[in-house]
Amino acid sequence: MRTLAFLKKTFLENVREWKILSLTLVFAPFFVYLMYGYYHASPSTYTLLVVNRDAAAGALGGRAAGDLIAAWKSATRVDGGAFFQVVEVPSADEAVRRLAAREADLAVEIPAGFSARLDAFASGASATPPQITNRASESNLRGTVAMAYSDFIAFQYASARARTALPLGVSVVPVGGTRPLSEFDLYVPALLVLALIMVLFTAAATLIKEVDKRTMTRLMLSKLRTTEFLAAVTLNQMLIGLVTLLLAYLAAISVGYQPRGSLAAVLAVAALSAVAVVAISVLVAAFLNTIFELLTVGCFPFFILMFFSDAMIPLPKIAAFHLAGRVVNVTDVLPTSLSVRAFGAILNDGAGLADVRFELAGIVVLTAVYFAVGIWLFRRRHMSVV
Amino acid sequence: MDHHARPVVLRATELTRRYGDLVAVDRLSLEVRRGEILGFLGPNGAGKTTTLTMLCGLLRPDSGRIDIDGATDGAGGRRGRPTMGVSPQATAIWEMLTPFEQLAFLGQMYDLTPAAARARAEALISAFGLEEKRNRLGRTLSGGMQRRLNIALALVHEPDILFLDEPQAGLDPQSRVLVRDYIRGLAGRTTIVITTHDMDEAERLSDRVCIIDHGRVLALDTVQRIKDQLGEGDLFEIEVGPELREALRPLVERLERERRYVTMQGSVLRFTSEDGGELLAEAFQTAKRLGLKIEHLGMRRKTLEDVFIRLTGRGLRE
Repeated sequence: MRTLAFLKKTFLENVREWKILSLTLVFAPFFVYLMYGYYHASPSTYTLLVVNRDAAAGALGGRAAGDLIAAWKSATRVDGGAFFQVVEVPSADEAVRRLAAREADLAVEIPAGFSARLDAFASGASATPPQITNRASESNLRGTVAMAYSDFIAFQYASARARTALPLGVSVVPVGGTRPLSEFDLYVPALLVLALIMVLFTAAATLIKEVDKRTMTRLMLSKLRTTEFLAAVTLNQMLIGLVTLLLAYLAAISVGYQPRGSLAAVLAVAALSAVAVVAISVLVAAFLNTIFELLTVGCFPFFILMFFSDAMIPLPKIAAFHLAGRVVNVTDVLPTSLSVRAFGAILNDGAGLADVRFELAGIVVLTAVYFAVGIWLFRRRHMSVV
Repeated sequence: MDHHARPVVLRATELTRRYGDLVAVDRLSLEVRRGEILGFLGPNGAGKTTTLTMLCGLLRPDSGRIDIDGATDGAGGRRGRPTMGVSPQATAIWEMLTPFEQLAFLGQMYDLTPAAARARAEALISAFGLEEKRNRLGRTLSGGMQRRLNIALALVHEPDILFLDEPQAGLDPQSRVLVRDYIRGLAGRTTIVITTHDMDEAERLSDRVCIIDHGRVLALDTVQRIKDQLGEGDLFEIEVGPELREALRPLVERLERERRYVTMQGSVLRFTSEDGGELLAEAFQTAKRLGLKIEHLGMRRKTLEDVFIRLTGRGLRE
C-alpha cells in the first residue's frame, strides 16, 4: 500500500516536472534521427575516388586501369548492393581535397603506364609489378575499411591478369544474417541504451529532491521503509525508461530500421537495464545533496555511462578476465555496457534471450552490487540518525 | 487533571550534543507529561532545535538517554516514532503536489487507508484555512500558506507526541491565531513540545516552559512559577540618565539585600514590588533633590523575558 502510494506520488511529480520528463523522453529519439541523418546515406557503400593516369598511355593505355575500375564498380555486398561508389577525378589534389572534406572515403591513383607494366610483369619481361597509391584520411575509419576491400579486389584482378596465384586465398563468410548492417543499424542498440541512461537523471532527481526539500525527514518519521521507498522509485523510473526506449525504438523503425530480434526480448533487457541504471542512480544520489549538485556533479557519472558503455562512441575493448568462456572487458563493470551488447545481439543478429543469458546474468549481478552499495551509502548519508 | 498526575511520556536525561568545539546541548534533562504543552524558550542558537531534533529521534545525542513511553531510546534511535509528528523549522513540503495530495499521501505513509487519509486531509485543509489553495501546487503557495501546510503535515496521523519547531515563524497575525487555537485545541489529547523565541507565544500556548540558553536548562516550570522567581507584585521600570543612575545605586543595593528582583540594564532600572508606589516616590525624591529628570516611568506585568534577563543578564533577542 505504501509502495503504491509512493509510486503514485512520484509519478505525479514526474508528470508535473514536464520539462525534465520531456527532455528525458525525446533525448534518445532525437539522437536516433540525428544519427540516421548522418549515416543513413552511406551504409556499406564506400566512395572511392580514382585518379586514372593510365588512360593516356599509348596503345595499351588504360585497358588494365579500365578493367580494374570495372572490377571495383562490380564489387557487391551479400545483398547485391554496390560495395563502392566509384568516382573518377582529374587530379590527386582534387582527390585529397575531397578526402579532407569527407566527401569520399578512399582515393586510388593509378599511375601512367600501369597497363604496360602489368602486362610486362605478367609476361615475365619485368620482375617489378606496377604500383598503385592509396590515399585515405586517418581520421576516417571508413577509409581503412574501404582500403582493405579495394586492395583485395586489386590484388585479385592483378593476379588474374598476370596469371599468377595469390599466395593466400581468402573467403568471406557473413555472420549474423544476410542483410548487411549500415552504420546507423550498428548505432541503434547503443541509442536504445542511451535512452535508458537518461533515467539516471530522473531517478537521482527523485531521490535527491526529497533530501533537498527536507521532505526526507517526513518520510523517515513515517512508516515507509527504505525498501518500499526504493521499490516505488525503481518501478516509476523503469516505466519512464521503457517508454523512452520504446520511443527511441519506434523512431528507429520509422526511418527504416529492421530489427531482427523480438520486441519482447528487447523490452525484457530494457526493463532489467533500467533497474540497473536506477541502482547506479541510488549510488550517485548518495553522494549528492541538492538538485543543483545533480545537474553539475551528476553529469560526470552520466558521461561515464554514455562513453564507456559504447552508447555513443565505440571504444577499444580492454579484456579484464575470462569467465565461462567469455571475455569480460573492463568496461563491463557498467551494466549498460552489457546492455549494449545484448541489444546488439537481439536487434542486429536476431538473438533470443537465451543467447544473451551471459549479458543478462551480468546485468543482474551488477545491479545487485550497485543496489547494495548504493542503498547502504544512501541510507547512511540521507536516511540515518546522525 | 493536575499536571503531576499525568504519566511521563518523554524523558530526556543528561542529553549532550556537540558540533566540533561548540556544545549545542549541555547535559539537558527534562520530562514531558502526557497531554501537556511544553514550550522551549530561548534565543537563537540556544540549542532548542538541536534538543527537539534529538527528542524526536532524528539526531543522535553524544551522551545521555531518551525514554519514550518508558522505552529507552538512548542512542537517539527512533523507537516509538510512529506516534510522533514533527513540524520542522524550515518548511518541508512537496512542491509538486497540492496540499490535499500531500496530506493524503503522508497519511498513507502512516498506514491510513486511502479513504481515511483523504478524509483526514480534508479536515486539516479546513482547520488550517487552506481550502482556497487545496488544489494548488505546493510551490505556488505563499510563504504563510506553506508554513500552515508544514504544520498540518505533522498532524496528519494524529500523533501522540507533536514536536513543533518555531511554528509561528513566517506566519501573519491571522495565521498565528489560527495555528495557536488549533494547537491549544490539542492540549490534553496530544503531548506537544514547541520551540520558540517568542515569549508571548510561549506564555499563551504552554502549560510549562523550559528556558534554555547555551544548551542548558535555566528554568523549567509553569509560566506563573517561573515568573514568581522575580518576586511578588508587578514590574516597575524607570529610565534614568547616568547621574541619577548613580544616585539610585543605594536604592538598588537595598532591594538586592531584601532579595527582591532588581536589575539595572543600561539606563533602565527594573524591579518587582507589591509596594512599588513607595519605591517610585523615593526615586522621584532623589531625582528632585538632585535636579535630575526621570526619562520614563512604567509599570507592567512580569514576562518570561524578564525572567530570561534575570537569568542570563541579556534579552531574548540580543
